[in-house]
Amino acid sequence: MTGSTYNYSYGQLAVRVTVTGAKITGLSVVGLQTAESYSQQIADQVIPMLRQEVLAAQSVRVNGISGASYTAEAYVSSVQSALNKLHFK
Amino acid sequence: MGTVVTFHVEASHLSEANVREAIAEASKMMHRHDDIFSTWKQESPMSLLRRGELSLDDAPSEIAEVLALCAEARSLSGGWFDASSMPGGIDPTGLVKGWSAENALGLLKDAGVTSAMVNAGGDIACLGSPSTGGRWKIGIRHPWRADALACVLEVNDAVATSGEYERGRHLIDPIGRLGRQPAAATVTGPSLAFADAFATAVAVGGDEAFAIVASLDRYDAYLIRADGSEESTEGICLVNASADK
Repeated sequence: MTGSTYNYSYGQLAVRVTVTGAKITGLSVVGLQTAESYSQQIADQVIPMLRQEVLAAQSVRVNGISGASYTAEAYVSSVQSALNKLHFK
Repeated sequence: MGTVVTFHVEASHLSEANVREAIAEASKMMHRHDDIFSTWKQESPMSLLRRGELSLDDAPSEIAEVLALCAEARSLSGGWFDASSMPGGIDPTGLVKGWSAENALGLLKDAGVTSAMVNAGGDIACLGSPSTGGRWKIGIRHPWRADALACVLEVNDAVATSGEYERGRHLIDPIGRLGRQPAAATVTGPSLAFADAFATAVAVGGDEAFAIVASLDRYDAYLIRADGSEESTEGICLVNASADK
């Protein structure tokens, strides 16, 4: 299930979430456009770590994440919208 | 404010349609705040004020309100949060995102929502309890460990995190002091506007600002220093993440 495309200040991205049974088993970024190369560099660094976080947390252990901004929020929002489409709780 | 805002409503006395309407109103309010305060938009009232093309009396009343809060936050933080010492003129950016999210949550509450969270790019205002019971569990992103949250905190009202990870340096030390920056600072407390400002203060002022925030009634701080060492004040409620699994 692919989440909505989210705009952040320096680009836009969309995330595909794979759910097997009741577990998130895969995440991939299917749409990423950045406004400039610096944003691309940041996105290259940040997206793999966000992927690990979501897979580790399985989206249920925390109600929210503080410290996330920009790319992180777009990523989390897109993951959330994909989960919403799947009615994954 | 250049960020994504998530509205999370868990319980209310409202129908789903009315919840949607309340969220739409809260969202509209935050867009209005962005239009007023954006320092990126050249024609925003805040930008005009900074260039001396608009007087405070002629500006939307929210600007005077926010600048008064900035002055209060400056005083409470011992000068470590200082919106007036920014390059390019007075800049309330370090407080306004939290202030806006706090007001958006207030609007949801007024509409009849009893359990909700507004997350403005990591600055989070909470109301009531999550449907799972207890207090809101908020993960704090670790500034550099790729695969982990630094910790999970239990939060009653508000939590904000500030630091220089991810986007490069964007914090300004108002006192112009040189030295290594702390990596990340998280502040909890009753007001998200102040938590936002104080998190910036501790991220800039390190241990000195941490001690000042620790002395403030109902505000608590969690600091991860550049060397990886951590410190938190008494009221910071850490959830043992591994025990939670």
